[in-house]
Amino acid sequence: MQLLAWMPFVQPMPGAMHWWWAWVVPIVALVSVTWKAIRLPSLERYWREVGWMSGQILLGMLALAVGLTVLVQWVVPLLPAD
Amino acid sequence: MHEDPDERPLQPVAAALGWVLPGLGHMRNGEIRRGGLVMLGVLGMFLAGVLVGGVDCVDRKEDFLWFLAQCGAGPVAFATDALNAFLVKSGRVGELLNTMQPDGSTAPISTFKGVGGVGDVGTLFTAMAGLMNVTAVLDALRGQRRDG
Repeated sequence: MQLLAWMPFVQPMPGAMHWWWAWVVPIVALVSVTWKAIRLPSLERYWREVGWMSGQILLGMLALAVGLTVLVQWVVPLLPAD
Repeated sequence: MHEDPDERPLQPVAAALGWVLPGLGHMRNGEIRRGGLVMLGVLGMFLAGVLVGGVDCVDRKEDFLWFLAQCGAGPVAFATDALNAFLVKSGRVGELLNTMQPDGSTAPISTFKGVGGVGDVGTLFTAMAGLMNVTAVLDALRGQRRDG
């Protein structure tokens, strides 16, 4: 019902924050689309390069998330309190 | 073999067109497909941001530093800010509620204002679109590639 009353582009998207982490995928893909359009001397292998760049960024962010989780959940609690 | 970009004459008209409509600068330089892809990336990012956060994610007065990045996307950022003022902040759509401010005063806030993460996602997408278009404009300024 909430979705039926939604005015797209005027009102914030209802429920968008239920899967907030998923928004990293479109922003990474669109940044890659723009960056590779500018940087590649030839557009012959364009979409493959876009996919490769998107994958690299997403894997890098995933690795950072795993690393920070390990640090916060397991390493920091091992430190002495005072 | 790559040419030295410094040898290419600068294209200020293409750069200006690239700001007016993302991708148009590359098209003016004869790089139609490249321009189309820049347009897809920049305008796609900007529209995705406004779709998620609503027009309120572009606000020249309340989020000026973000707006500096957003206006890199061109007149579309100014149009979105104007729509925000005309529709949301004026209360023409939604409802204006008097809310308490940190200094104890009250101010009318629209029920259509994006609060929390949803507004942040919209702001981030639109600001990123502006920054990416700045790089595209600089690339269009350097003129057409000879080997692409």
